[in-house]
Amino acid sequence: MKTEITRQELLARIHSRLDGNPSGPRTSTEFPDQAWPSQEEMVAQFVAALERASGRVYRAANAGEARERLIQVLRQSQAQRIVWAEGSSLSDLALDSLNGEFHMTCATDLGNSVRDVLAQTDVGITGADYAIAETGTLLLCAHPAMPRLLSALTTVHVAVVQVNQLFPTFAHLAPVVRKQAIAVSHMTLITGPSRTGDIEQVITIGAHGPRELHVILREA
Amino acid sequence: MIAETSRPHRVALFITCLGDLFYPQVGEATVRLLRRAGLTVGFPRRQTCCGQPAYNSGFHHVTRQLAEHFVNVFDNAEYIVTPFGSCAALVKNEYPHLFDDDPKLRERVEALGRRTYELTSFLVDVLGMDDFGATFAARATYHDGCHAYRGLGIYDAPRRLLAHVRGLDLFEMGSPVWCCGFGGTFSVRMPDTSGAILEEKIRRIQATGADVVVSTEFGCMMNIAGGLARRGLPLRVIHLASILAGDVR
Amino acid sequence: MSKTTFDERARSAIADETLQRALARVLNRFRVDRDIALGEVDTLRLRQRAREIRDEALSHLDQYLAQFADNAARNGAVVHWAADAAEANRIAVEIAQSHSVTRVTKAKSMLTEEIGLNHALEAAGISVVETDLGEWIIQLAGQRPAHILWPAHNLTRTQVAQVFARHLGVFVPDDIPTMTALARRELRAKFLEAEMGISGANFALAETGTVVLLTNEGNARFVTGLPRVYVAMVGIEKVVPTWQDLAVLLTLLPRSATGQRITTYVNLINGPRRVGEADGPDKMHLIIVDNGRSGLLGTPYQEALRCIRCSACLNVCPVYQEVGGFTYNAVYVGPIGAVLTPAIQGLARYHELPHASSLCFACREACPVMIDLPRLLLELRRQAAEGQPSPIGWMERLGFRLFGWGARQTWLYELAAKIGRFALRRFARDGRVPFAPFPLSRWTRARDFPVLDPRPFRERWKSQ
Repeated sequence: MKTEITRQELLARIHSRLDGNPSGPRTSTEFPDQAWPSQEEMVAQFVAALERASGRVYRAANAGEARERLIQVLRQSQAQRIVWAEGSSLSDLALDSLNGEFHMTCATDLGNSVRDVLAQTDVGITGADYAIAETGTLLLCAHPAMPRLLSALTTVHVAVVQVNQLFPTFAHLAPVVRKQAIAVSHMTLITGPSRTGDIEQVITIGAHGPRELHVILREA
Repeated sequence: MIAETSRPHRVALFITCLGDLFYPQVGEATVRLLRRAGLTVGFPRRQTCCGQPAYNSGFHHVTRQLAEHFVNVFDNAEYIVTPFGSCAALVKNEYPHLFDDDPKLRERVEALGRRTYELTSFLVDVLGMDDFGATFAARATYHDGCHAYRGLGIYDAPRRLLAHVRGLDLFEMGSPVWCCGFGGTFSVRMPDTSGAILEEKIRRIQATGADVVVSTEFGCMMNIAGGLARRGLPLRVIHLASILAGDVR
Repeated sequence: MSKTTFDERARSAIADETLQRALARVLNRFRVDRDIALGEVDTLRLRQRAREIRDEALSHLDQYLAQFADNAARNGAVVHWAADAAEANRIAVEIAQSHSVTRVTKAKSMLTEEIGLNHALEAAGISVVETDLGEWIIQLAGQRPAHILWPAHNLTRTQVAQVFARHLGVFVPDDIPTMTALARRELRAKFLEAEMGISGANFALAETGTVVLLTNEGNARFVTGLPRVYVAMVGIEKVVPTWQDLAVLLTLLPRSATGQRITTYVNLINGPRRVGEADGPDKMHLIIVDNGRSGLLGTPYQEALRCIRCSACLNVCPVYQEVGGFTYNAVYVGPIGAVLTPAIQGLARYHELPHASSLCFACREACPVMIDLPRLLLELRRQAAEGQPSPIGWMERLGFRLFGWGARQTWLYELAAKIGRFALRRFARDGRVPFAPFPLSRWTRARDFPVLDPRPFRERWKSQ
């Protein structure tokens, strides 16, 4: 097979060129900073970093406050169509019962028309698998109950996250991500709404991805 | 700083080809400064050029020949001091690479490089001297040559020396330290590009409001002075040694 | 082969006021932002780690490439290997044709620019739309990228509006939010109708066979997630051994590039969609491309392959600042381009590029993976001057040989100086030389030349 031969040839060529060309010793595989800040410090870092990236962050002490905040965000967005994905930080928010005031659909009920529906959806609500304090980042992994496009195609993305999902930096999260990489086909790190600076290097919020990112950070 | 017992007594002056031909007064000022510091100064007459133009143009075998000549001329010297940074950088940083095929000679060249100093770093870091009692009332700005600044890590030494010049007010151009566009043969290979970088440099100089540009790099001095003259700007370009030696008023 | 020299092209770039304003805007801003972002971390230590990580990958490149490919295949990706541009393009076209693809969206790939992928696809009747806003604008305008990260930075907002009017037939005010919204609408439709998406990769993680993509716009999520077929084109040098290694590079790349702590999106792709997942491409193809990179292994230029395409070297380069990207007449521009282009494509064609530098070392200082770019430029100059055959003219080579001989006889050096002084005196006016004949005429184009002192230092020394 043409491809197979090229693989062997290419790897052999690379190997022969590297022969007798030792690399320097690797000093350490550990990332410099291993300490864990307190949860309160991480929360403060996360909020500051995400706000710097033009995300909106709200703190909620419990499920009740989280739900109130979510309703506020949905009202402000004047959303016509909302799709939400099941997740542990959402399960006690009784999202089904919001169906009166808002047009809410669960992602698992989208059937085959996932793309088309999401392309018309104003707000996507998801949980997150993990969060990173240093950069104000969410990690979302592909999930049967959550289409990846839910946090990408919609105009507004709302994520409900628990404080105990916070990690200090990506380096701290790396071992976890490695395991996920074997389990799922896709993961995204999200830090704020989409943006571009391609015209005159003027930053414009809202490029191809969501125009707004709202994160509800739950203590409990 | 070196303790009194191992303080240098004798240095050999490395004037450089452009220094010899265009800035001999800087050489004289350097000699006077070193003597004032209590040193005996020698001038090995057979020195010519360190080979920088050849090296930058890729003629390393030619540069190696000149490096061997340099070693022959200066090998006996305890200390070699030059008032121009880029030549010191070539000897210290680049010469050893020319002798990869001859480990023994390479060692000699490396040792020689360790004994070679740019003037300001010699005065401040080796002799521990930063005040020569100089007076020069002027609004000045300091131009760091790229080889001295990034090649040799020289930044504080010239500023410490300038800080002790009575009447001199220093107005920095601000960061980052920016090239003047000389770049050796670059200035003649790519004159328009070089000229544009020089234009930017002159803008930054003018923005400081200074009347005097101080430097320790002959290439940069020629380049900047030439650019100022072309524009009819009255700023003076002066080597730091001339100020310290009291040659300018 | 270009008919103009670098300096001639530079001349028009320098005279172009719009370009000059654009350059000043980009470079000043991102230099400052970069410094601030790097000031938050232990930059020196991170750079040393990053260098080690990249060197580790390169010095065992065959092993890590094999690991990456095997893991990607295990994830369900179909892996292809391409020795050169022609092969890579052929494979891409075959993949498209085998899936009956006629519409492709593309994101984030200088490699595809390098190999001319768009031309190959279009020649096969397949339409390609760039989706990074800057890339889309220059695709419409038929322009080459002006910068590694901001390919359309040379265009003002008014010029962008003109591009939209002329090439899209859409008339919008030259207001940036409006134009961005236009791009969102236009490209949204393209994203949804595309049958195949092609991306490059910022990194190829060997440990799990993961393709890593950094964007701010979110377009990579659509290119890699919407169509039924996704193709990732990856240069062999993109390999990174482990996730821990990626953490270091993820800390440095955004900060070095734009001053951000992290880009808005980082896509981590482990193959096509799996059973049970809600969406994603059915098929994923991975094309691993050499195109001359392996030729740098085992040479002094190997370290140039550490490059993570952050563009910091461009942003601090005084030459790039004055002349912009087009002057280089190459896909990769700036200091890294001045090394990679002749190193991979040959000095016969590109022997000028290593000289497009004043050797100020700013790039070496800025590079997050500590590539000694000035040393590589000098090595390229050496190869050009001393190699057989040499692209350098015989006059120059002879001239330097004579110089080397003459400068070792002191009497000859002193004589030459005397002659030079005498010759120059004719052109002196008021203690300076505003014009002199070749070769000094090249100097006097831009500035006056000083007169040689009538008493050189060595003459004065006698009286010391």
